[in-house]
Amino acid sequence: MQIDIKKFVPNLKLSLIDVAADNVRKTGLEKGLDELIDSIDRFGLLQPITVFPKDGRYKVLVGQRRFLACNKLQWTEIPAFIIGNLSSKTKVIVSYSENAHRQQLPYEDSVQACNKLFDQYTGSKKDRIEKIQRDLGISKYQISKFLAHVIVPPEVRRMISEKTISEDLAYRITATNFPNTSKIIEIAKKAPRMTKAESQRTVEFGKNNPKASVKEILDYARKPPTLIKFIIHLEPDTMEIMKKVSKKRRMSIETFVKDAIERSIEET
Amino acid sequence: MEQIDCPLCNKQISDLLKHLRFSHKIKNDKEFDREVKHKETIKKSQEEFSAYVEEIKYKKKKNEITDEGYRELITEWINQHKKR
Repeated sequence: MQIDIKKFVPNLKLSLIDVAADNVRKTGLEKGLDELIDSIDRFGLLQPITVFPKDGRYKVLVGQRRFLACNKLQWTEIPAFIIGNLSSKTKVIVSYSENAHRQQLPYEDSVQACNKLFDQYTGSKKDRIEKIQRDLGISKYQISKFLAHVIVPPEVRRMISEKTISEDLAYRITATNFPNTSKIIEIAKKAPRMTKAESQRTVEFGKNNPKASVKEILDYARKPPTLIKFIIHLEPDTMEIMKKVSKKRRMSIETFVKDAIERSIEET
Repeated sequence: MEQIDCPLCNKQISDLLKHLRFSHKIKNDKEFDREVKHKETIKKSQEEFSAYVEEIKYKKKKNEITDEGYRELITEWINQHKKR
């Protein structure tokens, strides 16, 4: 199916445009809109919207958020492609395709772009992250993540790009075994064949036993020793104190209790 | 989230990689190793200096060197280690 563009109008009046009912983007319109407004304000509109004529006016089929952003910027005109009137079904398909097929910047490109900008900008960490947010239009959380992911060894980042390992698992394996790059790579290569519980144990055991070899870590992950479950009845007051202390130490209550028991045994 | 000690500054942190990237500007294992070596060199130099100061303080106490001689030896040590 080929959409026939009738005309390109570099300055279509915004007052003549409405959003088409067939535009599939109904939710999350405001998400990231401020970043888009900021980007358009700084660099202009790089991609025209697509409209079709109806009753002497125009309806936006593709580019609803760009249209909203330009309205908020109080532009009076917008560049637009004008297409012929399509069937309602075709309009929905076109609108959906445009939204669904829009690709996020690939992982490795995001890591490189964020780090390059972070190193080039001056100012505090917060200032630099805000500048990147303005430039790339991605959240601060994502930016912090991409900045830290530069420490993940390139070979493991390649595995993330190839989707053989998740970003989160690769990051946790790196954080646990850093700076032992060969160990990180070796574990990451085994990770895709592990179950979720095994990969979780790989990280936990590696964290608690930094000197353990890859073999020891993997053996533990595959065949963990049997754990014994205890039920301890505590007074409400003790429980409240434990909640506060474990929160202060940023531990779960279970880890806090386990640590306390192990420490007590070591001291005996 | 559990806290760990940063191997470079001993601060309590919850996310090692983010801390290394933001607080120590580290981007890979080589930069980390370089920073660790740098810290070790500084620590070693400080320990050597402390030991030397203790040694000449003892000599001064035993009147083997004068106050002036003590100051000169300190200055000499600092100058020698600056050149390194």
